[in-house]
Amino acid sequence: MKLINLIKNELTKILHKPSLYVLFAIVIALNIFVIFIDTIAPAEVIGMATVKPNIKDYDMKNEEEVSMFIDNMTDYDVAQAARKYDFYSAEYYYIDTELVDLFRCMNEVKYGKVSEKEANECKSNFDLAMASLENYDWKNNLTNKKADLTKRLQELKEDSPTYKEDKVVLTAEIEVIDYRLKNDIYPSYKISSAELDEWIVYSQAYYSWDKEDVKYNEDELKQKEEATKNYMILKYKMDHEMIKANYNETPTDNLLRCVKSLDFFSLICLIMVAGSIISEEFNKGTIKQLLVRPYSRIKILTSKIIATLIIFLIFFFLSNGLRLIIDCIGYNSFNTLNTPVVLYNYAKETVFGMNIFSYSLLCFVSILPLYLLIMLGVLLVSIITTNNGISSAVGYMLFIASDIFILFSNNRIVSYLPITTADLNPYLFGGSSPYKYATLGSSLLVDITTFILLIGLSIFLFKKKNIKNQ
Amino acid sequence: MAEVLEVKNLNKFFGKKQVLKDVSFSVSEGEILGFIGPNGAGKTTTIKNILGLQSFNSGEVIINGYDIKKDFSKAIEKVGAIVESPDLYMYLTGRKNLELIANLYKNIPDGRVEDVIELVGLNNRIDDKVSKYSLGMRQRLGIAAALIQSPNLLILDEPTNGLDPEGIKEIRDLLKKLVRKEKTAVLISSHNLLELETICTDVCIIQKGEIVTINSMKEIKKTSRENYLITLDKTTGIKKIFKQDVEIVDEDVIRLYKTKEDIPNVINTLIENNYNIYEIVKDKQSLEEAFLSKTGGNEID
Ligand SMILES: Nc1ncnc2c1ncn2[C@@H]1O[C@H](COP(=O)(O)OP(=O)(O)OP(=O)(O)O)[C@@H](O)[C@H]1O
Ligand SMILES: [Mg+2]
Repeated sequence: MKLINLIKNELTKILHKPSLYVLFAIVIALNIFVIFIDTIAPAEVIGMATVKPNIKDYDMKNEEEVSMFIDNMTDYDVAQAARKYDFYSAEYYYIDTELVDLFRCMNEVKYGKVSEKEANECKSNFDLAMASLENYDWKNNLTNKKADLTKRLQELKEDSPTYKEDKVVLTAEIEVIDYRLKNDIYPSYKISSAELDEWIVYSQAYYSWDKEDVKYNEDELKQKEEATKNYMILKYKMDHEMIKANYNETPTDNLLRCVKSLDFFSLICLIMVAGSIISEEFNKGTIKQLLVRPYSRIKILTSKIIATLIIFLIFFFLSNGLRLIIDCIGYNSFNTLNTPVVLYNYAKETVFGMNIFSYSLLCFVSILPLYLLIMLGVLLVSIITTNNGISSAVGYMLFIASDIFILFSNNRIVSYLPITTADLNPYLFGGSSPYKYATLGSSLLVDITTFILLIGLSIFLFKKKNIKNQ
Repeated sequence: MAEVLEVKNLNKFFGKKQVLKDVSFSVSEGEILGFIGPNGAGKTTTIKNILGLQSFNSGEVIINGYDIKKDFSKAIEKVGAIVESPDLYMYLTGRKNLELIANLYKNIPDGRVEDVIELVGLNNRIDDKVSKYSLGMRQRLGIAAALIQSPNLLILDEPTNGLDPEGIKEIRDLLKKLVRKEKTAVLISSHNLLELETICTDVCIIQKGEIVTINSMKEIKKTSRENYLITLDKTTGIKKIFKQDVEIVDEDVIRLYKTKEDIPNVINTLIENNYNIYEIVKDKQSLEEAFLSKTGGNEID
């Protein structure tokens, strides 16, 4: 008698129940909703100051209140000016970041104490800025800025205590401007633009660790490694001109988030199926129909485990595949799929690109043990209790535990718990676990032992299980 | 006759409580064994042990020559069963339920599913979800499910449970048809011997986990004398006419130990002796009483 027939039957039974289809529909609907929110109303716009401050609410004799009023008024003016433009436009960003001081200055002229000379200067600068906005030329703007930065770089004094750091920052800023001009990426709230700006921060962080004569402790070494990784990845992207103007990485970011850690919806699917596939049959008495067939109980249990896994895999790949396609349509960025993911090899301290699908698969396979662990836990509890509610609850508790234990990452016992070791993602490309004492070897050892124990115990209990009276 | 099912000295404890005590019986080809006992006697427990759904403490169950504990798959292969109730998947159609079961056996001929549907007479409703079935229809589907692999042993635990008299009759007719057509050995449990009177070839009576008697139906019927309850206008002088064959039950009811063939004569005799006859009924309790006299009452401990 073949196991495959049992598995087919289990699949048929699951696929004839509506619950999974409902879950699937919810996942897709939610995804579309998020895209809708994201594109129609960016979160930042919602947060902008849209209520005009009333001067009567402030005591204008009190200096503190005056400055508070000016602050609020400036926020309001900036918002008013910026909102004339698209949130992702160059103008919006320009107003929101670079013209704030001018708006403040104008308000100070109006409400505060400013010398006439300052006031005139302020007014003329403001008028100039407003005029430039009419026909905003960001390239010209950046070219001027670059000239300014270059001048400052040349004027840096080598004996200044901050020479090295200033040089790094200025150089990075110039590099960003060069990249922008070359690749037509105007400063904006677009993701590509924001990513470029990180170059300055990452460069600064990277060089700040570059002190040869200092002995770093373990934590510092980790921070240094992280800084190096960030720096080298962005460097690789800039060197290969991978950051592009109309380039939205949201689809691939979403995908990577779902493959690198537990994908919540697929986990719900897994727990739903694992929690009911055994307990429901016991509760409804249908298990008798199964146990009086010419199959050993081991085969019956095995078929249920395999069917659960198959359904989970189908759900995972279908839902994430569909979400990726919807995201690509929603954010109009199918081109991100051709762009390799840039990865850091911790062992060799090198950077390399990898196809997004290969990398996703690799990440998923690495976290699969954690899914398996949760599944086997749920199945074991459902064999013991034949209660869907309790076994599902255990599943979600394991899920929460997998997140919470990171708070105790320095604890020796926590480092060896199955729930903390089952995610092998941190070990990819020579990486190390966030848990202090865990190594790839210890994690594998714990995982394999746990799986053998869980499966063995499940088989033992399932074989012993008596069918109670209804 | 080859023995299809042999149960030898089955003992089963729930904790300290012994529920089955040395239960032994057998069912051979062509035999329909009525497994009779009051509530809590251990019928379901015995059947679950036979089917490997529960483990027993000692004893042996041999089906078609295979030990259920050692050779489960082989032993169970030609057994069809309903235990307690025909629990099928409510969210699937009747047909899908049967197909799922058919998938689990090799060498099931094409059209077998159709045949069993036909046999239990569910043709019209087979594509409805089981959740829309009446209890009787579910019992029929359960029997169909038990028959798919053409078992040579059918084990039915109270298949008439919860059915109305019409439903019980239908199940009985179905079983008769089945045994005639498929020549299956049947073990059928019930707490009501009467229901099975007309179809069983043999009867095994269990009481408080112990087999009280095993006998052929003919023997059981012999020991229970056929009798009729007759309602008359008076009972005076009746003893003189029927002697030891009569028993006065009430002031106007008598019990007469006669057979069906005697009834016309009995009526004539009564009329000749100026009795007004209001009612004559065959006493339905006859077999039951015979059974209860053997089992010593129907109390649950
Ligand atoms: N899981 C259990 N734990 C303890 N005692 C049990 C268990 N299952 C059954 N029993 C006891 O075993 C005895 C036999 O029960 P069983 O169900 O076999 O009776 P039955 O003959 O099928 O009765 P019925 O006609 O009511 O279905 C009963 O006394 C019952 O209380
Ligand atoms: Mg019972």
